[in-house]
Amino acid sequence: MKGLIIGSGVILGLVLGFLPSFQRRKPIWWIFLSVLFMFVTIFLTFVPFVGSNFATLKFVAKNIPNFVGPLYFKVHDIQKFDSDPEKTTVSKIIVSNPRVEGVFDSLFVRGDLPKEFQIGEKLIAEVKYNPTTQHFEYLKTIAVNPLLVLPYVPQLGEQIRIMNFHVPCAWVAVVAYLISMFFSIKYLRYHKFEDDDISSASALLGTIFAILATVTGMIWAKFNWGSFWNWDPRQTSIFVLLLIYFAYFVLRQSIDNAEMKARLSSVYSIVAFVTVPFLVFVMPRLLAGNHPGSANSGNAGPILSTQEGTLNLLQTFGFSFGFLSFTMLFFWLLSLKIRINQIHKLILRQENV
Amino acid sequence: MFEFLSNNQLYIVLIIVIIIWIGLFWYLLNTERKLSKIESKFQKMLNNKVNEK
Repeated sequence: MKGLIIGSGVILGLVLGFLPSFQRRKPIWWIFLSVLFMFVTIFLTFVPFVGSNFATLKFVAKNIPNFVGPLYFKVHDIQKFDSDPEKTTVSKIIVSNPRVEGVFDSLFVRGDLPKEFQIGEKLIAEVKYNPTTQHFEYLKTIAVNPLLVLPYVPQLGEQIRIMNFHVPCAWVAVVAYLISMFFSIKYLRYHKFEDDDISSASALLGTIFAILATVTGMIWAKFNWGSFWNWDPRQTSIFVLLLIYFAYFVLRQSIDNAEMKARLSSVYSIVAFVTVPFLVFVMPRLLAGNHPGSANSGNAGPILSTQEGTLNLLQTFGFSFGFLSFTMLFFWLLSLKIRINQIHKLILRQENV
Repeated sequence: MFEFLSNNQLYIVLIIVIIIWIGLFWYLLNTERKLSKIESKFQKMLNNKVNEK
């Protein structure tokens, strides 16, 4: 199901990108859809609250001292008693998992019971894990009967929202490099300069999106791993990828003869793309690292994980819309860049006549 | 409204992100319109030259 929803976003993005010719002006309905999908992605990213079930939160809390996290639960029963020697009222709340029937656990509230604690209410609350009692203690309420709840993924937590922007950026870079390679082959076959224009424009945009993915990943790494740059396999591979494509632009700039420039850069673009699947999809998953989906992270990462409930339906849709909207944004930018290149060439030709 | 935003600071981030994207899309739409105008002008110019010849 997860693969189907994410796959639909990817395929729809590619179909919409290619179908109205991507070298010409995009129709108004296309632009409207592109803007709409981006705002849907933003909505699905920021509006829902992040809430965890008991099992996941306990699993994370056992490894982190003084752990505080968001717990999503349904109030099943309330029991009040006085605790000695503090003489403060302590309420034991029997809570159930709102997503799964028949899974119960307990939560402790010190002091007055907040009014939102009514039987049957669904709440997201900030809770603290007490390792001695092995129970969660209530700190504050985050949401009451939330309509939309994002899952709590260990290692990501609230940062799961980054996924809807960071991963599509990296994906769009791969699509851009693939298009660049395809039109390089086409140029070598038919020797049309138009194809070379498309190939170079696509490689440029691919590099911009790869830089965006790297920068957004670095900011996340600072707060998750402790420093901006860790030479993690994922970071090393994208660094090598960027170096390969920087060399592509250096090559293009260093040749004056238009035909030689197009031919050599086309050959280089094809060779460069051979490394892309290996550097993006294979190497970071084969080596041990900090990035989700590395060889030592226990599972395939939140996207490819087959474990039930890693990503809920809402997060899967948000992610799918992320792919769709970023792919459309890329094709819009690509059409603009190609048209600017073509006009620029026509002006140069007119000046020479 | 102020109290709501103070308690739910993520929505402040949401507002900022929306403003940035509105700005970016406005810029893109403007570029699209200007480019279309230049394209049609250039096309007319080329057609005139062909007719003159």
